[in-house]
Amino acid sequence: MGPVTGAAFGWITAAKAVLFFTLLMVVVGMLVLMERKLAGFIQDRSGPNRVGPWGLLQTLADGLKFALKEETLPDRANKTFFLLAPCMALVPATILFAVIPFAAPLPTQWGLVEVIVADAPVGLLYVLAIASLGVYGIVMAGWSSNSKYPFLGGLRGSAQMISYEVGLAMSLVPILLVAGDVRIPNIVAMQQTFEAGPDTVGLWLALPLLVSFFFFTVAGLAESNRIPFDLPEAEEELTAGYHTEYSAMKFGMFFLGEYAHMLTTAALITVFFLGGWDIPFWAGDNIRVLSDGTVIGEPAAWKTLLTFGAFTLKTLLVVAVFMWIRWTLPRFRYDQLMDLGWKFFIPALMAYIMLIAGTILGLESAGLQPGLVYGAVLFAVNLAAAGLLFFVLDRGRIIGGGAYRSTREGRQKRMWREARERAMAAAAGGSGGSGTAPEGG
Amino acid sequence: MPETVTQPERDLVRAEDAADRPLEQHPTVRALREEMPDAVGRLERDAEGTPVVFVDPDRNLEVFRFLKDDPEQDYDLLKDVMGVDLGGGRPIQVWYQLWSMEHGRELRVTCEVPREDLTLQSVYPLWRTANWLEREVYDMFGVHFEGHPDLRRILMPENYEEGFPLRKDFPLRGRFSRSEQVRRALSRDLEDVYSREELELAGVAEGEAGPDDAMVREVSYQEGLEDAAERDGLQGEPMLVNLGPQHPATHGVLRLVLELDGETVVRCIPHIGYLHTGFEKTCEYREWNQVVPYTDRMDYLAPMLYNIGYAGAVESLLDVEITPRCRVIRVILSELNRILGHLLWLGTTAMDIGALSVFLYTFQERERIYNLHEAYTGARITTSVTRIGGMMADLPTGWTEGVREFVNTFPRTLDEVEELLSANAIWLGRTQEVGTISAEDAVNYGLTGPNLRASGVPYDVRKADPYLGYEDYDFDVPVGSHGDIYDRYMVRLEEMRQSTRILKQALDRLPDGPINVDDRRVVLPDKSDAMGDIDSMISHFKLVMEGLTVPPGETWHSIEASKGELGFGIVSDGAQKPVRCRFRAPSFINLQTLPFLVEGEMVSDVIAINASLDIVLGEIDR
Repeated sequence: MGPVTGAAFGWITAAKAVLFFTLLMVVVGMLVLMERKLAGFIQDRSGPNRVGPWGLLQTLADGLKFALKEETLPDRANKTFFLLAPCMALVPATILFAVIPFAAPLPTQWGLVEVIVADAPVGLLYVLAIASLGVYGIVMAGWSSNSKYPFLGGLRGSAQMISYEVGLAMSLVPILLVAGDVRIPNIVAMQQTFEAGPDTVGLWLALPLLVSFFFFTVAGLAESNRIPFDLPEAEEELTAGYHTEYSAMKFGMFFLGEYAHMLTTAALITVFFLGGWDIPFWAGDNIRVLSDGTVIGEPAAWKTLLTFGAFTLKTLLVVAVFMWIRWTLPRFRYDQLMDLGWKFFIPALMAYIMLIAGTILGLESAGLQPGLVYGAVLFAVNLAAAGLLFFVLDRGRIIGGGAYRSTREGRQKRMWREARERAMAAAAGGSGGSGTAPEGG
Repeated sequence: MPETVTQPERDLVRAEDAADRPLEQHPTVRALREEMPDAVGRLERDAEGTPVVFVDPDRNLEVFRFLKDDPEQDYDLLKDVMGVDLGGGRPIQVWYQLWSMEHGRELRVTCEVPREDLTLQSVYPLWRTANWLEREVYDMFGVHFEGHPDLRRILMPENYEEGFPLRKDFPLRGRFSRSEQVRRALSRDLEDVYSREELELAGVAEGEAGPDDAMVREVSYQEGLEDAAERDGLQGEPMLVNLGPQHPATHGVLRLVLELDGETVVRCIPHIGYLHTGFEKTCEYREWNQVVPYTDRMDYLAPMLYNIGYAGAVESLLDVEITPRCRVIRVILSELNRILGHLLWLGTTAMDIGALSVFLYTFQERERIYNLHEAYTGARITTSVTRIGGMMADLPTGWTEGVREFVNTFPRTLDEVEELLSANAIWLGRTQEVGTISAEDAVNYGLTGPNLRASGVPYDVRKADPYLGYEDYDFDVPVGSHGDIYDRYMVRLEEMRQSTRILKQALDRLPDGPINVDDRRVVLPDKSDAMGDIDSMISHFKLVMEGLTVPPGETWHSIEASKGELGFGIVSDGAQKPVRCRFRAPSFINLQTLPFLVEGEMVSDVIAINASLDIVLGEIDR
């Protein structure tokens, strides 16, 4: 059976789009409940349990509340952008799902249907391009509210997301080096077999690219604005950051957008590093459709279902880890976040890309083709790199941990005081005009 | 880990100023008399035995300079500045409560300021603490402090026109009618809503602009460019952010006006008084025992400490010795409430820095203390547990077992929290070297309690000037070394552990016996006695109808509350009501350090530092 072609392709794709969008929205809604239940579990309490059995309908109640609350529009807001911002927050997170394969291809009477909305040949680039759009929602919301807390939140958000965009993109470069393809189903297929023949169990990229996996997860966390990276909204500092002025469904869209973003990030981690819909230690799911229409493996409906289950399970596990982090860790400060992004992530990733590229060059000049030995060597190199990174280079220094006291010593504060004294002396000696702002920041 | 130190032995110095020796031999008094004989007036001892020196109001700064700078005196901590109006046209007294860390000596200097010339020299140049304390005296009594940098009203609104509330000629309900008060409160004059400083910051000098276009200054693009050019290229203009009074992390109705340069705080101006309810004034109209319920509404996070401190102050005026059982019970309650306050601090500070779950962990433990409160007093927060001369009731059966169980199990939560935070790189980054204050600055700013000890000064009232028999308990005073948020955190954690130590000892030695003093002048007789014999009935009748009378005198009694040194300055003229009831709220004085701590830090640090100071607006605004 070949892949679907012709008119059937058109309407099947449309049906897939509708189906997956609905699925996504439902799952996002349930994620809210999951987060609250999980938070309850972590914090020794029950979580929502009043609406429906075990609180399952809580999401519905929340949604109803969003719909029924008063829509407010600040007097001095820029109305166009104020209204556009929530959409800009939700849409990129949603359309990212188009290029994510959820399961093994499904055989139907019209042909083999790939369980992906759009198998774009530029999948990975599409991911990077769309992910960067997410920042517009935050910046627009912050700026158009014409209010100070949202403004600060918007500034933080833009700085943060632009910084971590770079890290996010760079942490995917090693994948390109190993997989040699930007089409996402091919990256999944690559992990299923690790190019060692159709009957092998493969190797997930999380192992041979361990460091990349770590960086991508952290940058993804930063991209989805969750603790410890939730500075744009930092409830205790900026009340609600960029969406302070939003109410009702407009707030609801930011809210959904955040969860959709988290789900997308988790799905991307699954696809890139955890083998996508691959079921571990089983070669029976090594099904792929080559671009010329050849089908490798034996597709079956039950396999599609099983692989879809595997994909969901992995994604939800990653989401659960994200939630676990949120309810455990404190929040970074703005400058620490920037330091971490620019002074640690980017240099470390550059070195890491060089290392991986060098290793691959070495392996290939030694005549070793991608396969399990190849993967094992990469894993060893990564393990060494990770050890070096965490135990030798960092030891908590870069993000301001153990050795923080001796290095910082209130340097920033001292510099600022000196600047202020200079400014005051200048004001006293000179014109005495404009005032207290320190010179040079 | 903060190191723990034991207080140095003070017996030697203490012998010199023991209460039974004549005041003339007190080293400070002697030195003062030699140094400036004509500035020193009469000498007294208050009910606590603290020497009181009356000083010529025109020369107060000179005297204080000597007291602070002379190495033999070295009074480096200004604990309190308070006013007293004795009424009847007598001069207004201003009390300065001093403490010398070096010599462990307490001294009160009183200036009697004549009503026709209510001015004093500000002691702000000597002690930064004096800033808000003098503002409060000005606000409440109208005493002008010359040389004060910023003498404005502090608790009352800046445009308050009814006078000075704590003067005796000021009626309890205020001078204006209710409708006039409401009208003024609702009036939309700019100057009612914004402070002078804010208006200046916003570029609206007084009287320059009308109320409408003042705060929202529209600047055209061209103007903005010229402005920027004028300010040296890309300097830009600072941003004014109003943090509060309604804000998730100000722990109450505190308002901070922040001038920001990017995210860096250039200036921070705290505004307080939103919760001002005039407790001190109200207390002057209540009988001695009726004051107790007011006290636990100030620090509602550790209410019993206030109850206990107040009762202790009045008992010192009465000169009654409470029963041994009562003393131990008060120690148990004090330490439970210290844990209660510190747990709240821990939870909210962690929450403000972003670690949300810690809050719920600590609140579970607080809940258990609240259950103990409820079992004893029937109330969970507004406990009103003490009475003058004893407690509201004896402990219920099985209560001590409840405390013992709590003491044995609750340190586990502390260990859990420590595991989550103490070595967490983000927590370290957020707390270390942030909000640092040196030991000298901390003392100069009048910080007390864990905030002071985090800077390395081992000053704890329980050790320095023991009350309730704290000298008999074996415990250590944890001390930090950097004076940053992290050390405040460590010090408080360790203090909770030390409190469990004290609790264990107190539970072991809790004696049987009566809970109230056997003194019919002070404590109601047993109900069955009152119904049974005529003597008891008479004293019951007199106490209920007249209230207890406290002999004339004055006291400044202090205890170690969870937030710092909690002082009670109380004056009695021998009647059923206090003449003056002053609460030296530790948060009030700790909070005025905030601008010093946050200027130059970032917005996120403002939240963290404010949280680390452990303020409760109930006692700040009183």
